[in-house]
Amino acid sequence: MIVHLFVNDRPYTWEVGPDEMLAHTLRNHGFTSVKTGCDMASCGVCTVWVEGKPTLSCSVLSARMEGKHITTIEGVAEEAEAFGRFLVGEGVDQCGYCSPGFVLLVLAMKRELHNPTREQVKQYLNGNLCRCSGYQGKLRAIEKFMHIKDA
Amino acid sequence: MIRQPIDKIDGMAAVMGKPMYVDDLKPEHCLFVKVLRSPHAYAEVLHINAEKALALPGVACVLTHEDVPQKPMTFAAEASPEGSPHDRTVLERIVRFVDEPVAVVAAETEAIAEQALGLIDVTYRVMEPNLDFETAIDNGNPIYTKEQVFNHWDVWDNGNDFAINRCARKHRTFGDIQKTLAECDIVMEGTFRAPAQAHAMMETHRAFCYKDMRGKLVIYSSAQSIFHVQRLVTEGLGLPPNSVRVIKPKVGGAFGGKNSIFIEPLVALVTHKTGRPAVLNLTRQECFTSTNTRHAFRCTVKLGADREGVIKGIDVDMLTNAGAHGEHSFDVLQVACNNTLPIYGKVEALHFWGQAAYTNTVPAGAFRGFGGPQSTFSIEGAVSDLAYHLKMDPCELRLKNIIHENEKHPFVAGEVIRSCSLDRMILRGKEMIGWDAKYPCRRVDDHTIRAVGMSIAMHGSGIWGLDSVNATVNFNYDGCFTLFVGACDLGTGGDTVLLQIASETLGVPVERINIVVSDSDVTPYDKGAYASSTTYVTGNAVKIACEDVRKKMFEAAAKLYERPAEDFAIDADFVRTKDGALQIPILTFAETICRFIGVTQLVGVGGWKCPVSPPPYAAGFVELDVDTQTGAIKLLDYVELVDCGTVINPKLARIQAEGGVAQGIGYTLYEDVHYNQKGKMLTDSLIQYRIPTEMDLPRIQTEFIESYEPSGPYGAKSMGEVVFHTPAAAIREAVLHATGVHINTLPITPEKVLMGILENESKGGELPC
Amino acid sequence: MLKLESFIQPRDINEAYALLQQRADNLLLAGCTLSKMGHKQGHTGIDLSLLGLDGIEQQADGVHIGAMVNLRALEAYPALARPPYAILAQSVAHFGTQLKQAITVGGTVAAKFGPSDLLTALLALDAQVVCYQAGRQSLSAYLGQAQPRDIITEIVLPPSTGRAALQQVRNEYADFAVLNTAVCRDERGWRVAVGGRPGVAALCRQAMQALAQGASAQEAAASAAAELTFGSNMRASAAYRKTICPVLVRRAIEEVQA
Repeated sequence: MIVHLFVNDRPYTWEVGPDEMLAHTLRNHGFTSVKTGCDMASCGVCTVWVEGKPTLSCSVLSARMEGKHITTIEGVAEEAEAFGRFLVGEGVDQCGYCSPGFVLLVLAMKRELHNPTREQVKQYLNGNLCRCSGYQGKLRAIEKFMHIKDA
Repeated sequence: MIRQPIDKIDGMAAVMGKPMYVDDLKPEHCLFVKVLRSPHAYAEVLHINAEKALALPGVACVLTHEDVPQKPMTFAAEASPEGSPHDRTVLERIVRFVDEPVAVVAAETEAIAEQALGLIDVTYRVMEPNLDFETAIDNGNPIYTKEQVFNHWDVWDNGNDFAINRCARKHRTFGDIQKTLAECDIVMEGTFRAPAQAHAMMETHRAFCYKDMRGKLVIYSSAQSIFHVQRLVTEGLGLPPNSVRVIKPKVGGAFGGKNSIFIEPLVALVTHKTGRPAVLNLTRQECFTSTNTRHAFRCTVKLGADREGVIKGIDVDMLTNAGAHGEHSFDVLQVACNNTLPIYGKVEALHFWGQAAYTNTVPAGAFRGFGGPQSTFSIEGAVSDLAYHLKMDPCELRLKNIIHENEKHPFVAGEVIRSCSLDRMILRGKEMIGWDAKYPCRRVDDHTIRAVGMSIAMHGSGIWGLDSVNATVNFNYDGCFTLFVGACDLGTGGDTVLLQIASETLGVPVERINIVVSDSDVTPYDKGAYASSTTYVTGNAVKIACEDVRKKMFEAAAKLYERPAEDFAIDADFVRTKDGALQIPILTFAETICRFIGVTQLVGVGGWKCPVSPPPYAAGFVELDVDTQTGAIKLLDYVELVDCGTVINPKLARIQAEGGVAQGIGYTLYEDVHYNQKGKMLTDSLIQYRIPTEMDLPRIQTEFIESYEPSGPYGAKSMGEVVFHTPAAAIREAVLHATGVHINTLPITPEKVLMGILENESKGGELPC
Repeated sequence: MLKLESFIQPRDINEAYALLQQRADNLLLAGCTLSKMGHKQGHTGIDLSLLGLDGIEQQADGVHIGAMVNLRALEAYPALARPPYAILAQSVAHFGTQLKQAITVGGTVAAKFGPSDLLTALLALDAQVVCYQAGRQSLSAYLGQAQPRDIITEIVLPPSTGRAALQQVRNEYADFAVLNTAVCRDERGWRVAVGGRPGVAALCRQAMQALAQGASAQEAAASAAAELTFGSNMRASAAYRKTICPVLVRRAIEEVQA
């Protein structure tokens, strides 16, 4: 079936299968910044924005995306790079595989939560797994990026 | 550049999602490979009928054991000759674990390949599997015959005795353990267990293969060692030498899980047979069920001490589950023995008896720590119990017994420990967690007790007597350098650290040095990323190569400028004489050399063989709450001290430590591999198999107490593995302090804690506070 | 994996219902997460996104939550932030943000997922389930009996100015609960629900009766444990669940009474 959607504000018309998931559609069309980790909504690595909301693209049917606006990291490149520098500054890019999805989640959080506490940040981000870093450096990067000061 | 917290060189590219991983780089019009897997834990494949699959449009091939040599090999991407029993082939006729590959299908799309899987008919003769490693040895049901196993007994005394399902054996003694234990005032005995652990790296196993212009099979793999993969794929497919090239792009995590050739031979086989590029991305489920795990184990420790708490003898009896195939099982026992016992320096006798059992479960293999965590949990558990029994502060007990710098230990290669700051680490850790005020426990409310616990650990840096790596460095016509290393950065930051070592040795900024890595046709031989080697072993080779090119540069300068070679130095942008009389811009010098007749391009070569394996050390301290009515544990604080000699990059070292502790906490509290009664792994997704999330982890504080390792590059040791080991015994000890319960089986779940408390109560025991 | 031969997005619930009845292997699609986890395979996927079932509205007879309301919308709805409804947001706090974006209230109810904390909370709040054909029934009845193929349109929470509390034990923060309980006391009395047994949430009627008759938290909690059945699975044994059930129920009751 044919789907008309927008990725990073550009329109696309794509042929998709009835059970094809957005992550695979995006990757097959060159958006390789969208990674796949589990195919089962359990790791967060595939996070993109759909209509500005952080979404697990591995579990969203592409067929549902008619008319929708999807954002990958390329769509928020400047802001992603700005936050990315803090991640790299803490050394938590490590294997890097969870990073693009994580960045998108953090940028979504920044838009949604105003002056979050450290606990609120942890809670918001909890669905994105990272096997390398133990999350500590990621939280440090966020605290610096968002000027979060509580203990 | 030493002790500089520089950023990882490819950090921003990774964060921004640039195409760097295997699946991002696969060629267009790749065939997609899918694997048909055995539903049985133990069966003979009698017949495979692929007619219907082959007739499906878009299917390029279906390959089985008939398409590959049946000479037994090992998948362990480590030594050559390798100590692991050689007991498997690329595609098997006898399948020995659920999800073992039976056939591979390659098709134009993934969907067609999957559909084709369903069209292959396989007839099995199902056999009775061995599923319990604790009863498998000598149970009368051997799962291997003589023709199916080969061992390099001329090199490795690995104790493989397949007739009794013994995959490997390790025996090492010092002194007379029976006599020593008999003379001890106290002998603590405990039996410890943990299930298998899954690596759960975020990028599953992936590889693609294509034929280059000369017909060579080029494999891109998310792998830990390109040269071993190259060698093993060549062997596994029965190809002539120089048929295979292996390149490692960016790897999305490995932790040992990509230290065996699970999928490279399969993609290479497809490309070899069809001539077309092929890609195989394992699903998350396949990553759990068809690759490898940490060795599950049972270990009985007898710890003999005098009544002052001096540990005189340690007797370790370990049994591990090798699973269906033996890769790494011998070495895991080696490490369990050699990389743990030498932490206690006053012993008069030691005894290690280790066996690995064959069972029809997912093969165990390499996983961060490699036997060390299992052994450390057990020995430290017994030490905790000794302290508890003696009513002695466990920190005091450790301090009383640990080895010190310049002391000898019979189990240590080269005998003398040349660098060790463990004593200072324990004291500093106590300070950081507030041990004295918090030991052992205190009541928070009517159902919460708060307690502290600690543990120490050691590991190795590289494999002494075995590891050898090389590096070369070119001095380029533009005044810059190119470093060639076969080493594999797995996200660990190895490439960056090696650049720092090169920069320090050469005397030029990091920006002037290119690094070309992990390509078997281009980079010199390197063993790969395992056994905590990149900083220590490859680092040394890089340092030597850089010293070599410097020497050659100065010899060339001597010829050019008619001054003795020893007069010259490199100073960022200049080659100059030490007296300052001559100062040549490095670019000019480079250009001159290229034009100068009789001077070839300067290439530095460095090779290093590992004569010792200097132990890095860790000390972990935890504070936690126990809910005494539900058994639930809440971690409050974790302090990790590390001695890895000179810390080349403090930022990357810190992250390694934090990540290692997080994985160790997962092993201790949350991760639990389960099988059903037919040998099928039930924990085959990240929903069922729980790795720690942000909310599970407390603040993890790390500090590095430097020692100086004379054999290491600028005094450095490695640290990739040792940072995993402390949480298990530290958390166990804290729970012991909080509840009086000795929990000897991981993971430490609320159920185990509560049931332990209730059992103590039923015997008249009380909570400690 | 979720496998479908075709996908359709009806704009009319009649059409959706007819498609559902057409073939036994036609699937309703809400958040898709449980379908993926369960490796569902179907013929036609009937997407419910365009049926206008994603609204929340406070009406005279209670709060009407559309079946396609996702957990983010649920936790953000102001009228549900106060007691006793606040336990709803609490019950889904352990989910990641993106999962809450995907998971729907209707999908959760329809799946009758054993460890679901949300179901336990809804049960304690005396939720009503409204289905397109079958009409309204209590969540307790819906969970307790096999249901014909139907489309849940909304969940209704009766008006309540009471207090509620949630207690749970899990082996890991974001894992399925080993056991969960929700207790609510309001104008209509006490409700005690226990879920993750590992069976799906159920009301503890004897415990509720005991509380109505003035039993102590301890007595009522013991009664709850006695009247329920527990099972063993990978995460915990029946014996453990039975042992912690009275602890969690007692704590929840005490929290409500505080």
